[in-house]
Amino acid sequence: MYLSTLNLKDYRNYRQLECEFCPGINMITGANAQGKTNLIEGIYYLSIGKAYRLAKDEQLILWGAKSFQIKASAENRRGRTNIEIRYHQEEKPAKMASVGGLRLTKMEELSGALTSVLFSPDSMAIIKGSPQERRNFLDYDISQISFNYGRNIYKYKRLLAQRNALLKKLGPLPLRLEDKKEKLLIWDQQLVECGSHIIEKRLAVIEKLAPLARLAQRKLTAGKENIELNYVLCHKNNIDEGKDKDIAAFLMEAREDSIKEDLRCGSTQWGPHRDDLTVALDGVNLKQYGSQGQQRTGVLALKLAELEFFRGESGEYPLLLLDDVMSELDENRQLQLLNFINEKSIQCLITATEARNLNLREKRQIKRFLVDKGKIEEFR
Amino acid sequence: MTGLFHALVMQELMEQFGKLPGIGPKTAQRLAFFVLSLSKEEVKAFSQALVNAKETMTLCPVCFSLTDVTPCQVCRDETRDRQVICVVEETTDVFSIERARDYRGLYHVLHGSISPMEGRQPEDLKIKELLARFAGEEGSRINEVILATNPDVEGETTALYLARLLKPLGIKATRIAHGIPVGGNLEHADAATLAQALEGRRIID
Ligand SMILES: Nc1ncnc2c1ncn2[C@@H]1O[C@H](COP(=O)(O)OP(=O)(O)O)[C@@H](O)[C@H]1O
Ligand SMILES: [Mg+2]
Ligand SMILES: [Zn+2]
Repeated sequence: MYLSTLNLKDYRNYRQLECEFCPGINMITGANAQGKTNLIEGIYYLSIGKAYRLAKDEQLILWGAKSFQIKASAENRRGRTNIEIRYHQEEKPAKMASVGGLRLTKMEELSGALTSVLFSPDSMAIIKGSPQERRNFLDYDISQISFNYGRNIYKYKRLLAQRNALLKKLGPLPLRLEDKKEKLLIWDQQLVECGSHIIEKRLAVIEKLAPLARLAQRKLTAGKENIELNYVLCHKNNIDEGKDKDIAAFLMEAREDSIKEDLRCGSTQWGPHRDDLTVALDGVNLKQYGSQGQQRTGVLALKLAELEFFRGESGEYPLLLLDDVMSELDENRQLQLLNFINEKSIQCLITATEARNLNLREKRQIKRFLVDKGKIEEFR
Repeated sequence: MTGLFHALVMQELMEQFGKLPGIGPKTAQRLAFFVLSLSKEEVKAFSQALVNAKETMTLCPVCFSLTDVTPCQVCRDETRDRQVICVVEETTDVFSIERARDYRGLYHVLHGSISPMEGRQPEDLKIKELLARFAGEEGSRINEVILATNPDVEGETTALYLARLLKPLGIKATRIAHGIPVGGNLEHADAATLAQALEGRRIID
């Protein structure tokens, strides 16, 4: 799959952008704060239906304007698909999206229209950051291949917010614990059901990602290092303990165990919103004990695994967005990454502050762009 | 910032318009100035219409929809099927379903959905009143309740809650099923979609 054209209107610092990308490598250079990351963010928006940097939609509107628009054409084996997203801060609904001319009733239906993998300096957070970062890593990938997953995530968040509101209200009331539990039950059963779907899907995806990451890591380290991915349920140390049980039963138990604590602090202490993913090298946690270099290689391996994962799911490689990362990788890693995307004919958008010479083994189509204060220009 | 301030009376008017759902400060300002462009008679008729509506409309003591006659048009209509009650969140939903014309049963308006975030618990809705309708001779004729709450998380929760209350009473509870976009609103569903949704209802337990 590749992105052929992109159109931004009043998005971040772009008043009007029209751009045609090549299916090969697209080098985007420009000084700091000119809009390189904004461009990448706009493209990735089409993949996950929102801004990855947790920015609110209003913040994405060009200052002084009232709406933004992202339009793109994606090409895959079946042909060309037009994707469009419009956000208007004064209209209701504020956000509208269409794929292939069909208006979507839910943003989650965007799933799969343009699949992409993003690698930026922020990606280090997958290893170094909070559990939230690792859950996002999983969720952004899964929602691109599963419309249902995105819907479950949305529903789960809503159920959770409602349950937490009820917990806060019930907590201080002079009722018997049994009565409080009874009042929570209608939310809890739905939360357990929805939550177990989420966890089951995450487990299934990790099962596919893990061997791909392992393979990539071994390649990058000449067979020296083995990377392991493990899903950690917040209520048990390891998923293995819950293996013979089904997830819903496990969650119901977790609910039982923490109900008093939940009521005391007015928030839900169990469920997929508290789970984590551990990344280890030969049994040693990469977050705590990995060197800077090992962590970097680990993230690269995860990204390569993502590319293969998407191909396994959809039959095609996704688009690869490399925002400002080339300079962070040493020469050897850079070469390995470039050779990988070349071999597999993956479309790639690379941003950097300086134009660099790509030492490619084989010839590939390359297009070069210069970004300057929200304007983009192709140059040769 | 400009140094220009609105006259106090205009500020008050804008504040009133701003209370309306979906009206932001900008629109409130536009509406307030629009009112000034009307003739005095038109403005009087406008304000009188507001007061009249508020004074005339009351809750139907049977189904709790907003009505100008008691009981409401539906509840007093002898030709309606008294074996089925369609439970909705708001009176506006009654109108949406009536527009589809296929439904000939009765209604019950809950006045909201269960939503702790907005401070609404089951006891804040007309649920006791719904259960009371099953008592007596009239009540014993009811054999199906269609749960037509909105298909969002709160509406689904309310439907689930009601289905559980109704089960021990031996009343069949069905849920409208198809056509309405998930997270969508009954109010915005078109007549054909609603007719289809009522047709394809499923039993929940
Ligand atoms: N909503 C917005 N409207 C206009 N400009 C914005 C908006 N959001 C961010 N910017 C500007 O975009 C620039 C940052 O662009 P960015 O893409 O991060 O730069 P870089 O080229 O270094 O990646 C900053 O100058 C910032 O002020
Ligand atoms: Mg940047
Ligand atoms: Zn009535």
